[in-house]
Amino acid sequence: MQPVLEFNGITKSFGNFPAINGVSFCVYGGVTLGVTGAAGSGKSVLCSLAAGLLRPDKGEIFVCGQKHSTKTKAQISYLLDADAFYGGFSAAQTVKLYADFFKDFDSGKAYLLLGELGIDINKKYADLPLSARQLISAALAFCRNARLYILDAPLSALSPRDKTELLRKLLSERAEDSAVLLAEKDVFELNELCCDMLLLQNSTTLFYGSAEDFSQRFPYGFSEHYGGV
Amino acid sequence: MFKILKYDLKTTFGKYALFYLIVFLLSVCIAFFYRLVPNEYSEYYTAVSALSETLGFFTSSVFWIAAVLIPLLRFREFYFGKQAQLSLMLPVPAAAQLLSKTLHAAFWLVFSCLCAQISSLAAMLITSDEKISISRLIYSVVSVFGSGELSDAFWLSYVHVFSLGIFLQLACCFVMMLSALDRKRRSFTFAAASIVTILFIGSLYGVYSSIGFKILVNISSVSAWLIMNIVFFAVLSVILFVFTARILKKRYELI
Repeated sequence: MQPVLEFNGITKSFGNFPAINGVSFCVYGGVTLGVTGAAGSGKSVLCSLAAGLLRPDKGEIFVCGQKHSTKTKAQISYLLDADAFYGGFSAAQTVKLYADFFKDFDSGKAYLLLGELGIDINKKYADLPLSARQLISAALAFCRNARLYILDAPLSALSPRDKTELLRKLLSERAEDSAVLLAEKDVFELNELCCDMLLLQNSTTLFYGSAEDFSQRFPYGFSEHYGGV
Repeated sequence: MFKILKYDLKTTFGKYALFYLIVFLLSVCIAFFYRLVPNEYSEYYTAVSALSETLGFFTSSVFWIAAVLIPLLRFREFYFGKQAQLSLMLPVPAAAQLLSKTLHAAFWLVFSCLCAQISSLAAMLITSDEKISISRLIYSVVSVFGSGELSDAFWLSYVHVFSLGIFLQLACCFVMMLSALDRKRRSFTFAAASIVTILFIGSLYGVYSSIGFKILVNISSVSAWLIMNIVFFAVLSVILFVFTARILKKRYELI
């Protein structure tokens, strides 16, 4: 079985600072991989590398067996920052934009989901509060029938409970053969949503394995590994 | 590619519409101001005329700078601003994205030419002492757009402005892309790349024009100069396009 996402010895530095150092892992269809670690451990860089927004200095990344290209971009649904959309557009216009560019995007599902979330789809994006903009971004990401979903610290403006509930709902509605890369600082939010866990410390892998093993190894969290954050 | 062009035009439409309206109203106001003082008061008339011309020149300069600047700001926002994440995640090839940005700039340049033409026509109507009938107006426009040496120069000057606009657009995009490759010293790289590009293109133009004038001696001087420039800008635009698209595809990453 071919992994949906494969990292082979990936290293990425910014100047002399190594953001990711020799990280390797595989994410198969149907699996949600939780990426966790302290602030600055390389979670966001890892997500950007997986999405093709950054290029690795060493190593190779494969999405569905292929190197990053326009083709692989069509298979990745990346949860964008709340401000990544054009502020002058309404949510309805942004839905239209997604429908125009992504063949796997389900507009009907998006309108339904935005209605359920109580978003005014005719209001300008820039005039909406941060939480509403994040909800639109999440709804758009999950209304695609992608092979790989990348969520970097999603829905941070929501309360932990609301966030976990919404993510659980969105993750359960996705296609069974799709994989998810979910990066989050708070390990307790991740544990119940993920099958596998990857713990980063100082840009390297401290733990990579199943969520069960992770819970056994770090029953009280892993704060002792990075100074009690 | 046309999808992305549609969204480029949509996102800048509001800015341009407002900009055109301001320029049109300004040219009408200047023309009214010009007409305000009758010819017989010669000392005031000279001062008002000079002031109107200065204002007209200032408006048209700002107009052309903005016509080139707005697509550039769109390019900056698209690749280096908050929207960069969305831009880079779209399954559209780098060359198609850049072509869309270039066509987008070309589209607004053509529209800006039209807007400038309409604004000057309106100013001309207001300042003219004699009554201009619609049929005479149509005749004068058709005679310029028709055939003959005058219309040739007219068309060539338009193509010249158009090619210059596209060339400037691509040169700036190229310099921005180059500077984006150096994360640590972006401002320095931008300044250095700008200076080197200007010096290189300037000296290239010097060599080209000295050779070009010798070849194009048989054509009238204005037309020869315009044709020569159009060819120069077109060739360099293609080269800059290829280089910028290559950087975008192979090297560029989110800042």
